[in-house]
Amino acid sequence: MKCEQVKEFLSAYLDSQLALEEREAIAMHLQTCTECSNMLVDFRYFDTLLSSLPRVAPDASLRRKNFSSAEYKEIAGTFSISASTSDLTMPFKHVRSYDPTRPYLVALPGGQQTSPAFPLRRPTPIGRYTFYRRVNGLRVMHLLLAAILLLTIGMGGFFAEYLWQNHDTVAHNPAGIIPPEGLLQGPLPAGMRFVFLRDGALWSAPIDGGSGIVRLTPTNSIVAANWAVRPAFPGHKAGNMLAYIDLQHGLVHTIRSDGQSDTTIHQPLLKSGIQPTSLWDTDTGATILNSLAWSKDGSMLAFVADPQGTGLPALYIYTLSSGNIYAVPLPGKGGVSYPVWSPDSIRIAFAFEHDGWRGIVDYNIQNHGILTIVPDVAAPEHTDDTILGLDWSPDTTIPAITWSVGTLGHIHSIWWQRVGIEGAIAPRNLTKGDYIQAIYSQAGHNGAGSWQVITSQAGLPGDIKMVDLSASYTLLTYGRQVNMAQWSPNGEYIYYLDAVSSEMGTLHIINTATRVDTIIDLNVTVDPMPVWSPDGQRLAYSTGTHILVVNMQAINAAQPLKIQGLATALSWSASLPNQLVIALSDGQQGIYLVDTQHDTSLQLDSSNARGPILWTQIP
Amino acid sequence: MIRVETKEKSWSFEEIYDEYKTPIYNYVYHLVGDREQADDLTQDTFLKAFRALPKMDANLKLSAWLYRIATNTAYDALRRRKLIAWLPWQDLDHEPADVEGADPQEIYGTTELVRAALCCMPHQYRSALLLYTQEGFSYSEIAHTLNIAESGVKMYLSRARQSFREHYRALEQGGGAK
Repeated sequence: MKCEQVKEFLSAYLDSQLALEEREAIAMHLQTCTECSNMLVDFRYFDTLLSSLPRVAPDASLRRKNFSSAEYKEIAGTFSISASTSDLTMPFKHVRSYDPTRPYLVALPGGQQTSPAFPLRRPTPIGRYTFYRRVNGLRVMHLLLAAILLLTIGMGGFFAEYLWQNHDTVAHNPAGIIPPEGLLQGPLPAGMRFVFLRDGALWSAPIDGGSGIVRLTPTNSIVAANWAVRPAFPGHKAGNMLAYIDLQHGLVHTIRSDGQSDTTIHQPLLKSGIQPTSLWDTDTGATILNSLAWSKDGSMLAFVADPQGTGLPALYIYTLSSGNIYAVPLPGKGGVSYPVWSPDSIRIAFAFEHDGWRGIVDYNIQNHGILTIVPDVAAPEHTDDTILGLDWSPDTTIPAITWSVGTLGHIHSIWWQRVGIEGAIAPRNLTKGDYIQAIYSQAGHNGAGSWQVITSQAGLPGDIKMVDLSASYTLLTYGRQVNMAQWSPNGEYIYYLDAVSSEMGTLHIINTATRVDTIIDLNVTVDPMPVWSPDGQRLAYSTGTHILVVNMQAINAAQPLKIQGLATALSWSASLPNQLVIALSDGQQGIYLVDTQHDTSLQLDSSNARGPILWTQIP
Repeated sequence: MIRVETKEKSWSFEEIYDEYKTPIYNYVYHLVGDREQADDLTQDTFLKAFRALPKMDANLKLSAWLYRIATNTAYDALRRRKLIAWLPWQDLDHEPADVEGADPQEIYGTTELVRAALCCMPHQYRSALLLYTQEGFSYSEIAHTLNIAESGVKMYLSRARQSFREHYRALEQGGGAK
């Protein structure tokens, strides 16, 4: 293709509106043509500028003018309008004049990525509504299947238990595509498996294709998006238990990774008599759905629930070994959100809102002590601020928490505070400013814990700053427009996407110790995000047409995989360093298991999947 | 009270106005680049809509339809204004200092440069670009709003981006593209 042709296609290329062959031709041209690459970079940059242009709101006087205008009265009069506008008594003057209260520029949420004020593109709720309709249609069949499942679980339980305690092995059985089985019959064989959410159910897939993809969760439940795998036991690669919320009945369940022992936790999440579906879209519903938290040792599960229907959710802790459940005593009447376990699983910190105060509270599992760490996080100049991030310092000898405060896209401050000492000292302020993003990693700063924040330049994304828990900071980039950044699991690297527009940006990797910044690729998708391998040595990413892997030992040479297409989810294996799961949506739709070292792939399923894809182990 | 039924819900005129006044105003303002005119055009848009609504089908996509009225109302105004020399963005919060040879970015700031570049573009490209970047519309939503085919949207956005780039870079250099 010649430059002139390519230039006509660049805009559609940026918006992923081209057919596969055209996309590939353009991508190939871009690799060698600086002029066209610069144009693409410009298009992306200008899209960012345009989408972050301050939005303008009309002044309130315009409403009055509109509804008291002669024309409006005439329109309304023809339909005998009644009292609704009669309070607007101001006479209309359609005369252009200087108005001191004329509209002014305000920063409203807006733009391509975030336009909550605009109704056309409301984020789609978790997709359960469409599913309900199906559930209604298939109710009889599902009841029948549920009965079969219950019978199977009952019988299977007798002979399955001894397998559960056995050590793990990884099966190697190359096979073709095995169509997903509708419903799990007996316990799944030992080994590593990955789990994903599809059509309101959790599905488990083997890493050899041998036993097929099977449905883990019962057919009479609809699984919410924020399901969680229990942390791996020492010496294991992945957890052997999952927790999920059934949207249909408003209850938390646990289920073993082999698909057995689906257990309902008998603490209603919502007030009895309330239809759960009516509450999931409310703030309380979102708080509950986001609350599932396994303790780090995997022995307990915390979640919040509002069984009284007060709108003030309480915190509950479920102990797996005993099946006991209890409500955590609170320092007053208020609502709990965002519980986070300490690394030693002895404490749980959570946000606690009462009487307009937004504080942080710590609960000690051993002595049942409850401690208000911060009564209120909001500063006088930012009264809308809430707790956005909350986590623990990795050091268990001196328990400490760290948190960020602000509103979405405007993080105003980050703090650190020791927990559990008498006569608590004031929290340490780590940084103040107006940051677009703040992400904490316990592994950052050589395992001492560190934040990375994205600065804001006149409302536009700026550079990355690393702020450690002793409040010292390092600027990692200069003159960039960083839209998103992620720590590697070991805290050694950060990848970031620069100048993102139309969901694509330039991928960079920074070594946080040396601050060496390497450009990896020009066109990398935001969804799915690039994904770090568990050891932080490899990063997989999608360009919309290709999937590439970059190894930290050869950072300048990203390897495109033979398998091509539009990726919707990427996930590195928890046990094998070169194994990657890729879900593709167009062309070769399906779920693939890829050996990135030998560049071979195995198709496991012919339907697509969206993230997250999490790993489990069956002992 | 008059109520209008759409697929989604039953609306009073006030509810329609309150729901859409800000996005429509923002869109119109960026199309015409003048706040007082945006006031008038927003009012005209809603009055036209209120007049026509009771006759509309219940399957109406209210938001896209409102944007379509707003676009046409703004185009009319822009056509009327065509003979008047365009003085870009003089009602900004600060008047640009008259400093010869100074860095245009310092005089205008990036936001003002973006607005100035926008106003230099042909208006149909401007509306497509604004709907895409500012309002977050998809290609098919833009097609529906501007009453063109989706292939037309592809062409509009391509031309719009090239035109915007040309004008922005020219303004940045301290002059205007012709």
